[in-house]
Order: sequence, then structure tokens, then C-alpha cells
Amino acid sequence: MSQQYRTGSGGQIDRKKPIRFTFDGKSYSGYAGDTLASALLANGVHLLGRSFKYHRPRGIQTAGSEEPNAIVELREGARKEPNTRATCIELFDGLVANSQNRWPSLAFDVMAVNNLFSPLLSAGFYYKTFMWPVSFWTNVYEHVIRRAAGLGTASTAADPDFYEQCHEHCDVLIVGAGPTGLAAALAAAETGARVVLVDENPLAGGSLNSENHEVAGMPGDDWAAQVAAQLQSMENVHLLLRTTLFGYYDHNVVAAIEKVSDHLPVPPKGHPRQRMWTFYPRRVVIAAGATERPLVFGNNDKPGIMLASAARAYVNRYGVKPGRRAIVATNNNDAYRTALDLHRAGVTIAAVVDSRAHPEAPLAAELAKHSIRLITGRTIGAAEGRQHVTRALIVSTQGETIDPERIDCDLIACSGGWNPNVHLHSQSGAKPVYDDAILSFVPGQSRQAEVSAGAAGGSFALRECLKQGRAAGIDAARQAGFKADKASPVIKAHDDGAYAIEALWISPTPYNKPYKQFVDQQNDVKASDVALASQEGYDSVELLKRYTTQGMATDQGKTSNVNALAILACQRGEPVPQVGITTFRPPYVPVAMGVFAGHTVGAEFMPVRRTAIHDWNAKQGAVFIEAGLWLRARYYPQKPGDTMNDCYLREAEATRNNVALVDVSTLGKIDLQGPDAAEFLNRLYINNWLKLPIGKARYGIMLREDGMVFDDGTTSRLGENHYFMTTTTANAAPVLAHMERYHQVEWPELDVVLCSVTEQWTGIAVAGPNSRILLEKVIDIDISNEAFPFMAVGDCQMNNIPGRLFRISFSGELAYELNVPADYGEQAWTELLEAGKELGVAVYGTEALGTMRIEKGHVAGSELDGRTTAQDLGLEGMANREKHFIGKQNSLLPALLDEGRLQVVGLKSLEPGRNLRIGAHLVDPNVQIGSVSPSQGHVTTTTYSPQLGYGIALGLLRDGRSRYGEQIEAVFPLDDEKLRVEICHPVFIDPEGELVRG
Amino acid sequence: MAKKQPDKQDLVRVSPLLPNEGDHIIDYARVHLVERKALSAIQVLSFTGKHDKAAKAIGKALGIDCPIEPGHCRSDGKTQIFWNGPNSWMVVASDVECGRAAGELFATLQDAVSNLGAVVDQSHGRCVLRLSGARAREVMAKNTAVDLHPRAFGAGQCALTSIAHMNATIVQVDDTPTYDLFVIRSLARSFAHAIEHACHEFAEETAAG
Repeated sequence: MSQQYRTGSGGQIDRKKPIRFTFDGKSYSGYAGDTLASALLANGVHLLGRSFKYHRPRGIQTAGSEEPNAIVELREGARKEPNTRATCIELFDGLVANSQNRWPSLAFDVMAVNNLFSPLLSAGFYYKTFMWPVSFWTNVYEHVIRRAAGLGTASTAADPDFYEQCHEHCDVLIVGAGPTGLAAALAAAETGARVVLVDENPLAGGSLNSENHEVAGMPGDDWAAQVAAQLQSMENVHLLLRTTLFGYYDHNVVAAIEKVSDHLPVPPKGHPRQRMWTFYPRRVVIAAGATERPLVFGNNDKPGIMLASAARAYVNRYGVKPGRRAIVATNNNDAYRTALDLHRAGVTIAAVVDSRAHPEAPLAAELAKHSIRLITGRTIGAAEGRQHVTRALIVSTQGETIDPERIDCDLIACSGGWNPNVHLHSQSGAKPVYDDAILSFVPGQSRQAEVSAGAAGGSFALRECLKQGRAAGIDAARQAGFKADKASPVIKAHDDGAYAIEALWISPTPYNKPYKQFVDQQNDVKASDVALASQEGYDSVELLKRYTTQGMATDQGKTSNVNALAILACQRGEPVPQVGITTFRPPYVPVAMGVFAGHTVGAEFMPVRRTAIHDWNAKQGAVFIEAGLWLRARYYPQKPGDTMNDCYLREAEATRNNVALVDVSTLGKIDLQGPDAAEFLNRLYINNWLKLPIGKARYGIMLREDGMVFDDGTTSRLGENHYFMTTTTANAAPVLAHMERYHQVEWPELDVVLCSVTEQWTGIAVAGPNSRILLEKVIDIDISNEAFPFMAVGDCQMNNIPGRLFRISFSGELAYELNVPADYGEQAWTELLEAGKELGVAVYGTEALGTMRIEKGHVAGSELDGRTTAQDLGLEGMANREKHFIGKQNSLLPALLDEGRLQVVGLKSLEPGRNLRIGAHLVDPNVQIGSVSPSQGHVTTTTYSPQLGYGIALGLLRDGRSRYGEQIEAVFPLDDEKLRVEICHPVFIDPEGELVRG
Repeated sequence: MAKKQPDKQDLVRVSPLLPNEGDHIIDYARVHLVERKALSAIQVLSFTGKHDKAAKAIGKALGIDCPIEPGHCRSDGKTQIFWNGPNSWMVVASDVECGRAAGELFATLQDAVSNLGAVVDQSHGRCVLRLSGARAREVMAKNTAVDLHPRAFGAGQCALTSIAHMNATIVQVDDTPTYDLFVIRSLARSFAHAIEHACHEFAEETAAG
């Protein structure tokens, strides 16, 4: 029979909307409004998984996000998601879930043999059992342990869905839309404050949906729905359901995860699966409720044993009887209503077992009224049953029980008391304090703009929750600057009785048998493990946690931590507060990594910067290379099968012998203007800037404060007080920031303004002996060597495009750099190519650019590695020691002038056909590979020189400049390679620089 | 620039966005995204002690009060001037809409500002997207942490911030709301893509919502 455990009526499910779903290959039906857990319970399925370590059968312990046991693999294929809590999965049509951590089947699991070997798997077993031999750890033990103690398997396919992030500011953020949160939201919203209310459930109401409470003269769930609708209609309120606040960070920033589409088979088009919210509230009201803790007795992990509040939730909210014959076991008042609610739904209550000798008279009377048996001063010592609980053994809480009473049952609903949800409070930096009245931790002194109210603050009575919620809402709004005179009146509710509890942290076991008494069910930590850890000296909470893994599973010990602390306190013979509490850390619930990444995954991991010539390059089939965020054309294959070597050699030769274009738009460009611009440059660069004429460019070097070279480039004087600087691509932003800092902080007296104009201009270098011939066809100014010599700068028109021409060269050839406004960049590029057609103009990429700069011995990023001085680079002659400049003092430190520093040299391969390797170390040629030989330096950049016909490189070599002509070995031990090379001057071709001036 | 006037017939400004993207990148019932093409964007940076004078000079030249206070924008419906840093403004207009020749706004500002500051042409260095509609604020919330709630941010305000991890400027044009989003040219496609992506959730909506 389908859904044989479903009640005839009641609950927040829609019996008119049946839903089909599959668990472990078997088809079931449930109703809209069910969770996977409630639907399985309605079908009498309690066995949902196997435990982490011992592979014991496990069922459903809770009805919420604190669930330690009922974790399953949800969905299949690319959307498969392991470790999903069945208690939080909203049922949808066609849902497929599978149990995990079992083989070959859930009912018959081979690894359950672990249960028999449990003495080997005690606390700290990793450290004790797998000690020897050491080499076995990675090869054998880790492999086996990982397979045995699995928690489901993730899909290896790419996630087909996307995630996104969202930001929201508000005056009052309320966490939890239970009675406290709704009352707080209503009160705060009526002051006009911007209110955000979040709740992890699909319905507002919290506990009101699971209890038979009456609020404002109507059923509690109806009231909640009504208030939620009212809040939703207010423009100053944002109600977010299916949203769990998981992190409380500094500056009152909090983060939440909204499960936008998890309740649907697939996300609707354009919608994310989940969304991460970052909230910036002025005040936070934590109305996160409380979590019930289980009782610790023998075999307390058997399917059919659940929290008393969970049993109530299933019967009241989901219309499901979690059993037919129940025992309710408790140490407090709260569980009595479980007995009454189950009884009302037709579940036989075999007994209510209260560990307290003298429960309050009205509770006993209420049970008596319904002829429910009450056993006092006793508790459950152990449960029996194989894959489901069948019987409970009742023992005295005082001393040994010779002959425990056996009571048959198929459901044990137990309550060990309630823990306020102090997680967010703790995450905010505050320290929860122990409250003897409720035997749990309550919020302590606030450290940020937050307050806990209602059950989260340790007040469990409904009337008190509504009252505190309202007060907290008004107070928060006031502190955010709002007047609260119109705030709503107190909400009336029925009296659900005062909470009272007497400690029972661990049950005596019948016959003193070593029953397993689980504390942390998700990580299979038993009371005996806590005791053992304590005996072995791991008796502080922090050590206990790490030694036993207590509270370190995905549920973070929500139901188990306080029990574990109390048991540790019993062991140490100290009160609980003495033992203390571990710090709660985000996330409160498991959060998928994908949601933190948002849409910045795959190709969108980083934004991409494209030049104006990018599309032309792409159309030509250029191969791109990343340079920071930029994509630069690396080389241009001309026919199928063209390798990078084919291309860059061809491109470099075209440049050296004819004329070619390269896109240099990515260079940083900074505009400097003002009466003190020249002085500013003079302090920034090591060389002279005060006498640069208008219409001229100059190469400059700037140092960091520590004397190391920072960046290089040319700066041109465009007008009386107007300069135009170029930087390397990589340092465009750091150089501007460096300049801004000096301008704003160190030299505010200099009247100069700076701004980046990198983006305004497309830069095209026209290089090669025929570059002038090409440009003369399209440029309106006289660019003869006399009129426009090396380092000249001037405005021009290229055909009809306005631009600026620089006679500078990186290749070492006669060359020009044309800048045009970027929207005309592609047009300028194609017009140049068109004009150069008859010359046979080519294009080249960064690979050929690199080859030619090495041939010319121009230092670049690989030599400017932050550890080289101007002297190391052979550029010290540029420095003007008569003036002050950034880095001057430190560049004169003896250590930076000493002999023995690495200096830039050229390196020639002495073996035909072999090139040097970047990163190869330069060592004494007489030393064998494998023996110790100190590195004397390394190769920074290499190429094959088409001009010279052999492999060349630049390197940094100890005292390199005095060693030209010497032979040395370039070794690359990773590949067992070595190459004989000759040390030479770093400028390989045209050392006098005649070409650029020609 | 050289004196020879460009032949405007042959000069076409090419948008940094994909050429096949029409004027409307997104045209849903309650959110729209278009590129404002071929704008003049002129940055003015005042010299030491010349801030107020430069502001007055710009105001006089354009007939729009130049905003002195941070985070503000003034507009006459065609030309926008927004605060762009402690000593800087950005003046933005569509040359076509204003009936100006290319370069005319730059020249006007250069004349007006003269030795009070620097006038720098950034027209080709920026991509400007206009996002508008009832859902525009929600689209923005996905990409920026700036509080754009009407109580915190309204028409005539601007923010220099980060949008989808890219430096950008938000200028609120009206209370629809309509935002002009400025980003550097090279990032235009990544930027537009991020904004577009954030709009898709609202694709199926009707005007009534």
C-alpha cells in the first residue's frame, strides 16, 4: 500500500498533488509539500543510509537542516549531489535519490563488518592503527580508508547549472521567520526601516508549522502565512525563503545561500540553481530558533529513533505517522507534546519515559487524561532491533538495573533538551555562555550589531518568543535610526507552558554491557570515544574535537556538540562551563563551492581585455597568449600545420628584412599635465627629464624604494606642461598607483595631474627597414630622417584618421609607433596593411617581438624580476647621481654594488640546432649532472635567432659582465638536459644602434 | 592633433562590443540594456588650488552646474558631468544628439579650462551601457555591492566602484531606474556579458510583472 503511514488529514501538504519519486531504484509517491524524508516515512521507509565509520544502518533523526544521518545522493548524472540532507530536500516530480556509503545494497552492506571491528576504530584510530610502516600511509592506508569511510560520490561531469551572487543593504536583518522572527520583522517593518527576513524553509512560520499552537486567535501556521503575506506586500521588506544565513563576518557583513531552484527538477531558464547573498545590515536580529539534542543511550542510532520535535513535525506538518507504537523519552517538559500530538494522530504511545523523578503535575495529568502511561525516574538504557528499532530497555537513572523493562515499539521519540542556535552569535566574534536553567549555551555579550531573541536567546515559550521578537524588531529599527511609535501591538498566543529540564547526559546501560552510545552520529563518535580521548589526555574541547572528529562532519555537530561537552565535563568531574565550548565557524550549513565562485568559472574566471585589433587578429586565426587580463596575438599561422616556430621565425624575418606591424595597444599609457610635470618625472625616473624638448621621447627607468628596477618605458613631451608616459603591459596599473601615491602623499606640493589613457589609444608598431616607405604613403607629416629623427614625436593624420606618431623601436629596426583613437584602431591597422601590400607588409605577434628584443638585448619582465638593480641590468649609466630620485639611496647600498651580483648577459648556444631553456641554471661546465655544483645564475629568456642562425638567450649570471667569451653549462635537471653555451654581450645585433637611427 | 580636418564620411567609430550586437543587447519587458555608442567622454582634472575655478569654467562653458561634491552628476538631458575623483570630472555627451562635431566638446572644454587643469580625451577609451527598467536595480545587485536602493542612491548620483570584479562607474540617469555604466573599452565584452547574464532571469516576464 502506498503511503500507509500518512494521516487522513492535516499538515501542510497538498493531498491533491501526488508526486512520484525514486529512492534506491524503487518508486514511491508523496505529496507536494513533503520533504524526501517525510515522503519516505509516509511509505514506511526508515532506513536511509549507512554510517560513516561502522556502516551501521541509519534513519531519520530530525526534520531540519541539523540532520546528521539521513544524507543521500540527490539526482543523477551531472547534477548528482552527494551528502544531501533528506530532511531538507523538497519533493519534486521525478526526484531520484540514492543511499550512499553502502555496497552492494543498503540492506546488506559488506562494510558493516566494521561494526564488529569497532574496537580497532576507536578515537584517534587513524593515528594509532596506521602508524607503520610509514610508506604505507599514502600508498595503502589512505586509499583504503577513503574508500571505506566515504560520504557518497560527487559527479565528475561539469555542473550544467550556474550560480550567482547578490548584494543587499538593509537597516534590520532578521534571521529566521519563526514566531520570533515574524514578530520582529513586523515590528521593524512598521517603523519604515528596510527589513530583510530570511528563512531556510520554503514556508515562513518556523516551529509554528510543526506545532499545534494558536497565535492571534488562529492556528499558528495560518498566522505565519498571513504575516508573511503582509510582509511581502510591504515595499520596505524583502522576505527570502529557502535562504539560510550561513556566515557572520566582520563589519556586520553576513552571507546567506538562497536555494533558488533546488526544489525543481532543473532550474528554469535564466535562473541560477543557488544564489549567494551578501547582506550589509545595520542591525541583525538572530531569531534562528533552537535545536533539540538527542538522548545518549545504547544503540540510539537505530532507524526509528528520532528527536521528539521531529516526530511532532512529521505528524503535524507533513501528516505522517513516523511509527505505530511509540515511546517518548525525555528529560524535560517539551517532549510531552510529542506524546499528545502522536496520540491525537492515532499513534499508540507505549509510554512516556521521563528521567526526572518528579515531572510537573499538569504534564502527568494531561497524559493521564489520555490514558498514556508515564514512567518517571527512568530512561531508555538501550534500544534493540536490527535495521529498525523494535524494543526499548528501560533502566533506572539511579544505579544499576537488574532487570530492565522491555517495551516493544517501532518509534522512539527522544528529547535531551534544547540548544539555542548560538552559531551566528559565535561566528560574529561573541562567546556564548552556559545557562544552568536550560542546561545549554545562550548568547553572551554581543561583539557586533546583533541580538538574539526567542529560542535562539534561550527563551522557548511561545508567548515569550513573540514578545522578545517584537521588542528586538523595534529596538533594532530604533538603533538604525527609525522611530517606533506606530509599532504593532503585542501578539497574543496561547500558553504552551514553561520549559524545565533536569540533566541526563548519558544513560546507564543495562547489564553494564558495552552498548554503542552515539554522540555524533554523522561521524560515528561514541560516548566511549569521548571518555577514551579524555583518558588519553585529549581533554580540552578543542583537542577532543580533533582527536575524535566530534562535530567535524557536515552537520558540524548541531545535535551532538553540547552532549559531547557535557560528557567530557562528567569525565573531568567539572561543570560544563569549565569545559567551555568550541568556536562556531561559517558555514552554518554545507554550501556548494560553486556558489562562492558564482559565474566566475571556466571562461569567465577572469574578465578578458581585448584590443581594438582583437577581432581582426581572431579572424586571421592568430594564436593568443594571456598577458595579465589581456589577450595578445602571439603568432599568426598562415597555413595548416604552421607551428609556433615556423610563424615567429617568418614574422621576425619579415620585420628584419622588410616591414611588419604589431599590436602594442596593451602598453600602459599615462597622461601627465601640469607646471610641475617635468619635476615629477625627474624624481620618478633615474635619468634626466628637465630638458626634454617638446616633440621628443626619452627612455626611462624607474626604481622601487628598495633600489630595484620597477619599470621602464618611454615618455614623450607633447607640450609645455604635457607628457605622455608608456609603461610595460604588466605594470600599467602598479606604475599609475605608485605615481598617484607619490603625488598625493609624498609630493603634494607638485602641481601635476595624472590619468591613464591606455584605453583611449590603439598602438601599432610599424617596424623594419621599409617602415618609413610604408608610412610615407599614409602619413601627412614629413617623416624623413631629418624632419623626424629617432625619438621624435608628433601629431599626424593617417589617411583621415587623427593620430600621434613616435619614432621609437623595440625591435632594433627602423621603427615607428602609431597611436590612433581606439575606435579607429582596426581601420588604421587594415589601411596600413592595404598600403603596405605592394611592399609585402607582414604582421607579427608577441613571440617574434620577444625574439627581436632578445636579439637587441632589451630587458623586459623576465629580467625586471624585482631583484635586479639598474647596475645588474647594465643600465646604471642612465642614472643621474646629482639629483634625487625614488630608490636612489637604497641603490647605493654596498650590498647592491658588491661584486658577485647577478648581471644580465647574452648567452649563445654552442650546439647547433639546440636552444637554451628558460629557467636553466648556469653552472661550471666541468661538473657532472647529479653532483653538487652551485648555480651561478639562470637563463631568463631564450629564442632561436633567425638573424644569427643559432639559439640565444638572456640570463642573469654572477659577475656576468666580466665574463664575456667564457663557456658555461646551462643545465635543466628536470629533463636531465645540459647545453654548452658562451657568455657574451647581451646585444646580439647592431650594437651601435645604427638601424634605429637610419 | 594635426590641423587637417578628418573626412567624416570615411571615419566610423567601431564599438568595442561585438559588431553584430544591435542597439539593444537586452530588451525584456522589465529590463533593457543598450550601448550608448560614439560618445564623447572628456576627463577634466583640475590643477592645485584651481578646483572651484575649473568647476565654474566648465559650468559656464556647458551651461550645467559642475558638481563639486563627491558622488554626484549633473545633466541637461544631453550632456552629463559626473564627479570622477577628488580633482576630476568626466563630461559625457553624444556628439550626434548635441549636434556637435567630433572633437568639438574636447576643444570647448580645453578653451574653457585652459590653465586651470588638464583636459584629456577618453572618448574611445570607455564603453557605456545603459541599463533601465523596473528590474534594473536587481540586475545591478548581482554585480555590485553599492547600495542602489532609492533611499540611498538616486538620479543625479554616481559611484566609482567595482561591477562584476571590473572597475566601473555607475551614473543614475532617472528613477525608472536608468543607469549609465562606464567601463574601460578593453573590458567591454566581459562587462556586457556579466550584465546580460544577470538580466536573463527576467527574460520571461511580462510588462505587468
